[in-house]
Amino acid sequence: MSNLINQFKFARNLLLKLQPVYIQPNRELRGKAPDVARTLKQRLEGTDMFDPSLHFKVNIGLPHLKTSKAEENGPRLKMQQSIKKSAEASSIEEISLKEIRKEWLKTAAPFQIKAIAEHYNIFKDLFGEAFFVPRIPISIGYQQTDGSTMPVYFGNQIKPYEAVLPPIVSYEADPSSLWTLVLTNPDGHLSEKDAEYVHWFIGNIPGNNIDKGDEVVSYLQPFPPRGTGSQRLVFVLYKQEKQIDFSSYQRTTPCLELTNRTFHMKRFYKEFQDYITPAGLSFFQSDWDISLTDFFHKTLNMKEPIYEFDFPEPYKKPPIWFPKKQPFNLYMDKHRDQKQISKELLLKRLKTVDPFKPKEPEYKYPNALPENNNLPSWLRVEIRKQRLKWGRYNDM
Amino acid sequence: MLEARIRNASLFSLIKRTYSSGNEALLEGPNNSFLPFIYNRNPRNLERLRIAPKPSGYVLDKKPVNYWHRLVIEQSNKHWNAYIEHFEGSRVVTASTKEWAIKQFLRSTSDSVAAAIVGKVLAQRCLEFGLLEVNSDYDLKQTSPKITLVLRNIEEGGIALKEPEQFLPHRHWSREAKEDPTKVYEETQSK
Repeated sequence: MSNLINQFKFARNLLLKLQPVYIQPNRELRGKAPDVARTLKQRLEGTDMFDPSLHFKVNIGLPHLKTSKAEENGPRLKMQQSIKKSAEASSIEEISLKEIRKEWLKTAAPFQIKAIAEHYNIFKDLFGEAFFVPRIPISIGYQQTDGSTMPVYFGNQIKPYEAVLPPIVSYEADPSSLWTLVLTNPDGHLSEKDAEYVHWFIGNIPGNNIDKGDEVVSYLQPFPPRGTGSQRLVFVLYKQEKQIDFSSYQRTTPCLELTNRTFHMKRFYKEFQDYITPAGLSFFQSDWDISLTDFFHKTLNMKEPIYEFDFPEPYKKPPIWFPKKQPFNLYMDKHRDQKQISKELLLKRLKTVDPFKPKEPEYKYPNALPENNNLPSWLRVEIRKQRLKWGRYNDM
Repeated sequence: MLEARIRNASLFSLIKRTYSSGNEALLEGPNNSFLPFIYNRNPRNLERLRIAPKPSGYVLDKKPVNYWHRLVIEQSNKHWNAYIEHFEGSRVVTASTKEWAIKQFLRSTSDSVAAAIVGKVLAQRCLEFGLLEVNSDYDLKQTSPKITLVLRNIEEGGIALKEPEQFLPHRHWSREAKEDPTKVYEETQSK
């Protein structure tokens, strides 16, 4: 069948060459022949459509231990009744935000933290198709030189110079239980795609005593390179079932060779998934500051990489030999190398600037100066633009 | 000079990499193996830099959809509910008088005190979640006194109720060059 159609097409094309006839485009037989082309059903099977039996998220977190409704609502009802009986309603100043937050951490926080972590795409970048509800609230704070603390919440901005020293971490835990804390950066790997840098790794923490845990990888401050924007730094707290040997992840202190800090949270979790359960989550964002230049030069012993965002090129209509009704100078400039044009402008500017002479005063109304009427109009327009510093004359 | 790329969740573009001035010997260290591009997978990064694509919406939209994050305040007979919504559809931050954490201190969950508290708590959560600017369609001159109270408390909490415009790169045919947000840094000094 398909051969027959192809032969027909070939013969028809030959005929058209001899005697050109206009054929309506919609009358043309489009696509492959019916017995070769796949049906819609076959096509849909091939695409990666959403399939609930395959594409579902797995909860890898701690289970939700629900208290009974009666147990929960009893004291709540009493509290509300006492408030309603009180003579005066409390004013806005009397209600403390700290106490609301304290209660929030016990009740609604885990679900809202999960929602914001999904908004920051943390589960997908760290665990792939898995997620967890952070049941254990962690409080993390960086001590500052002036005595204050910079807390880590769920996406707040912390500058690298504020996070030089390891933070103080606390959470509620049974002293006999064991925990693991990992700080990882999924955004900043310089030499590998889809990899992370581990900034801190402490295993086998008895209770909430971080100092008594094994320091597997020592702390390294965040170092988002210049021009890369904000990077996420994620603290994940795991609950351990038993003592675990992390010797394959052990690094010498201080670990300043960055390739040794390459880390994959998903692979790490897969390796120990029978003994660890993610319980707590907290993260912050960090972007470049001036203190990092010294950090790159002196601590990491490398030149500081500087990145620059280059926006996608705008669409240009392909040039033609004889453009009609186009301004010739602008049309020609559009298709020239932009770097060459900027270079010419810079050289032109440097000719007028002298470091040993005082700067010439700028006119308030530069276009009020007399014009040379003998020049062609296109050149006079360019001169006007140059005087007003429009377009490409912005830097002049 | 090497050609480099920065990969973001929503936009892909080339970037060039250069080096800061420093000792030439530093180039030979073990840390100097680079990929020619860097991958920043943070989906909020480009929105912070205000270069992420922002939906422009349609003229006949009932409510304009030209935002990255939007503030919505809901008032029912019994409760106050305020939340921040992303244009892709997810509810990111919520504060409601239905939550026990807020409700426990309130005599009534629909009066002006409740409205003020919902505004304050939402602002606090936004700060914790790193969302400092949200779009708000509310006109302070036309809203009811209670909604004004919510809006004021959000603003006093440190949240700007206006989002910056999307930055479009300077082309030589556009009249004025705007400041490139990728090259703006706070002038904070360490030590």
